[in-house]
Amino acid sequence: MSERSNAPGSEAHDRWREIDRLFEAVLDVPPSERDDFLIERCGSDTSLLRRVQELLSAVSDPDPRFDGPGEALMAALTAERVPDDAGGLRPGDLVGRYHILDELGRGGMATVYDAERADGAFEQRVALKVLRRGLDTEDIVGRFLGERQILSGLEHPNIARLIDGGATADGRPYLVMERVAGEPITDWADHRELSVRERVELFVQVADAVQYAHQRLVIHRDLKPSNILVDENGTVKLLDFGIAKLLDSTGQAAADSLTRTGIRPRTPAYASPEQIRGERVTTASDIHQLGTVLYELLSGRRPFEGSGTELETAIMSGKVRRPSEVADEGLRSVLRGDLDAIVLTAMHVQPERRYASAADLAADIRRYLDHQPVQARPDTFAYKARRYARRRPEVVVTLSAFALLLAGYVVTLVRAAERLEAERDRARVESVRAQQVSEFLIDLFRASDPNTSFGEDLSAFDLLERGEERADRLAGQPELQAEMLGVIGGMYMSLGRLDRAEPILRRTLDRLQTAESVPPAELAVGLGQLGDLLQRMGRYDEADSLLVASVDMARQSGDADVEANYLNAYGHSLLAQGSYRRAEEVFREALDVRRDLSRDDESTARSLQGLGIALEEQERFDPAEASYIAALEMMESIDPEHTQVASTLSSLGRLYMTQGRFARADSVLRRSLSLNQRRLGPRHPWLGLPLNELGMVAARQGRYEVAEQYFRESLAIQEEALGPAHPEVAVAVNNISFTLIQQGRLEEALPLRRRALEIARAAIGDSHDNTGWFAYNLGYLLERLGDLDGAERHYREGLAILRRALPDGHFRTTTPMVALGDLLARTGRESEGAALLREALEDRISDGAAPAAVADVESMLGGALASMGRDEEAQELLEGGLSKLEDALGPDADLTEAARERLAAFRNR
Amino acid sequence: MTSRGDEITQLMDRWSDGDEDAFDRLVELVYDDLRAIAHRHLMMGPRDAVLDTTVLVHEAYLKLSGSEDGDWPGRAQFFAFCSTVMRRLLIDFARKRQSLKRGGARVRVTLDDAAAVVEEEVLEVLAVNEALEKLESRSPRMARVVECRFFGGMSVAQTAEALGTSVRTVEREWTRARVYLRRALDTGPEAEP
Repeated sequence: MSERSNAPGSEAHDRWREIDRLFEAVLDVPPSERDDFLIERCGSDTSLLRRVQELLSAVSDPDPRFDGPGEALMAALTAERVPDDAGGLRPGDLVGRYHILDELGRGGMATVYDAERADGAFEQRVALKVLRRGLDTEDIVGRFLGERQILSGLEHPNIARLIDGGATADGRPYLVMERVAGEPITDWADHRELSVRERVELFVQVADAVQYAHQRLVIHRDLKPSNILVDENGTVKLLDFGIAKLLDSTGQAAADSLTRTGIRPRTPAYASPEQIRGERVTTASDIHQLGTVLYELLSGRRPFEGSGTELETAIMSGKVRRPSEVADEGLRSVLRGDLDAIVLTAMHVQPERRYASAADLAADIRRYLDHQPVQARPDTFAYKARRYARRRPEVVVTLSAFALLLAGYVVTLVRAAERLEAERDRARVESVRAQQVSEFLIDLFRASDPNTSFGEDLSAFDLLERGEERADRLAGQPELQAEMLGVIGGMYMSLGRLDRAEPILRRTLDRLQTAESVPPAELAVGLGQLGDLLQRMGRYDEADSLLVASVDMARQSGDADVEANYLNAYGHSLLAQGSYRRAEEVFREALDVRRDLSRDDESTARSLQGLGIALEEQERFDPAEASYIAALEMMESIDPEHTQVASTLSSLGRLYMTQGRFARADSVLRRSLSLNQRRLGPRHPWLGLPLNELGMVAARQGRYEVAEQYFRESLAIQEEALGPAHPEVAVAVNNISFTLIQQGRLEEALPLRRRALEIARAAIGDSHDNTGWFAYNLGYLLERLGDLDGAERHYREGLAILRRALPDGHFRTTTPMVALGDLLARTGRESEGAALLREALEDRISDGAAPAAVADVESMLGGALASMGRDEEAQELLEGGLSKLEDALGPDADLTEAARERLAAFRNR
Repeated sequence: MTSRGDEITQLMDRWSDGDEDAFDRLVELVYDDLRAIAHRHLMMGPRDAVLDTTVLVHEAYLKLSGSEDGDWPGRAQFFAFCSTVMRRLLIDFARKRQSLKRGGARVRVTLDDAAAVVEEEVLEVLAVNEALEKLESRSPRMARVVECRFFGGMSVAQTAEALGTSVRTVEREWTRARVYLRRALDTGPEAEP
């Protein structure tokens, strides 16, 4: 990698130092004497002379980017801001029926005031929460009020009531809530020195209140001691129920401007793992938070320490010390056992392993208080098996069949252990069998007559077929037969003939299951091999059940190699299905399994690479990079030319591309490509993908001609290897057309765009998002070429496909929406166009899109409304959109220009 | 001064003596706070204000050191340190921006025309950072000068004080650094500084 060649002590680095020193020295020489000075110092080293002269010529021609500090750049970059909270309220101000008394505090999204009822109907002190400005479009207020309706239905003695709400004079939504005088539950308990039992009793109230809200479909999302107050009478009051959601639904776009992941928990220390991952929050998340609060209430410690990434990583790892381990000496024996189990069950890292409801948690706590056995239990094999059975019916069959087998093996093993003699027999049988297999293979090769061979590839398949025939004759020895079939199936797999491998691996498994005594590790391999194959073929359901069974069996038999291998395969299956969190856990498990073996090998490197992919997909880029690099170093120490090295480099390159580190991406991807070219030859189908990625990097950097060349090479390889109708071919064709358009070669691009769409329609159909993109792309080009009817038709096609293929409200669906909406508005169908633009605008705002992407649509919508005669709205949108575009992209950008023209047209009517 | 303030002062001393571990530990201690402060400024600042690094850093110093008044031991070093952290913040932010543009982390293998509209600033920040990373591997000190001047908005004199070197040296390094960065930015991945 290039960064390595930069390392101090390397040749390149020494050369750089030499150049830099001379450059530094020559700067002190008066300009007129510089040439002489350099010629003298460089002597015969003309390349040194040339390099320093080049550097010198750049000094007098400074880069305006670095003239001043980067503040202007930063300001432009961070222009997405919530406008000033200038309309802050002061004591005495009137909001609805309430007088402001004092400001209590400010959060990210809202300011809270102490207030009292002003109409004198009755005396009532309240907490009044006002949203910051800038979130107050009509629609958002509407949604806000709707949510408020649901919350005001919460009537429970332990939940602070939502009393009222509305909008301030300047349009900001506010909420009025019961003002509670009390202390956070943890402080309250500490000040009164409550016993463990008293604390648990207090906590039951909390769980009951949460259960009540959950039954009404309200999730708290921000449970923490400071939201759980206890008043003088010992009554618990939960604050801010559902408020987090309300705030998020209105303010996500603004709140996200500086945060690293999508939806960030409001209070990281009490966040659930799924909140940190920015996933959809369910009642299970509240259960986790309840567990966290209970943990702190009982042990006096927070379960997770630290801040920032460290804290997030700790929470997501799910590794928690038991409350009894961290509590003061005197408490430990009380907490150990049931209370530990209750807390840890509530806090389980996997939502489906927590209590199913707050009521279940409360019930278990009551069982504890009544000295009955609790339901919370540690992980056990039987427990896990039951869980799997509940979640995925198709697994049951497999698992219970193997559970029976397993019972058989346990018996066998125990007997063997009892009788040393038998153990020795077994070892002898195995060595005989290994010998038989190797003889079988040697035999196969001997039998292949070089005179009748049809060339290398064919004779390999020939051999395998012959092997199958021979294995067939071994029906009387199912174990040996299984092993041979397994070898043949594995060979078909590594030759890329997955279709041929499948029936063979199925037979292998069948033989293993019918054989009388097969060591569990071998059965695990049989299950795993078939599972891995099906995973590669995209048949994930069956693959997963086989792989899970294989891993469990390998674990029972203590074979760490086999266990880790098929954990890897399972992890890849999960990656392919988009379950990145689960995949991360599985790869970590694979690494744990091998940690004890403490040696470098390919399988561990694969686990590290898989872990990197899982982390990258969760946008945790730094740990992902570290994981790839660890994988790379491990593989390089084994075999620096291995295809696994190339594959890891390719992952790393993609990561750099995602991060916008294009130069690094380019160098790493090129290294991967050349490795693969050396190992696989120049036309191997595997080369298509890295070539495409290199093209993407160049395109992202604006080097369109270079990108075009990469894409063309990729196309040639893909066409040859996969045929002209393969979806990968469509990708390459499309990408070439993109670079042509960027180079202004529109006419040339047109047939390519038509071809990409045709291939995709036939090969992947209209439920795949790529087909939608190709349709949209064709529409875009037709519009630029002036064929508006054609453009409209393809925009509609693209939009319809993307609506099906992507989740509702997905940011990317707005692209064809905007194009079509704008086109319609400009061709006399304003109201249909305006509706689409409005939908796109809302989706972009709620998705936290960049300001330019929002402002562009605002301006277009303004244009549409102007032609509908809705001048007031139109003017606001046209002016606002333009000024935001000027801020974000500068005055000369194409989008800014278009917005300016729209506004001018409106004014000149 | 709180004990945390003392620790920060000590770490800053060690860092200015060239101890890079001390820097890592410093970042660990204050990165989240700085991020929160920057975030708040960005969220609440008046719309057209330029992000004022000096104010931001001043506030961060008061908060982190626990010092109420203008007593600023190690103030200059702290400025330099904050410049480095500002760089990280900005890069994180630009990356986030970039990935939002693309609708998430999944690398798309297909280009569409919407992808052509990426904010100039995002690309520029990322490119500057990448060029700087490269320079950093050649000369960490030159990179530090760029951080102070470019990301921290510090004057040459402030930079010299913060890095414990002379004004003349900073000027020389700044001149050369700009040439190297410019070349890296103009010529792309093939360029050798």
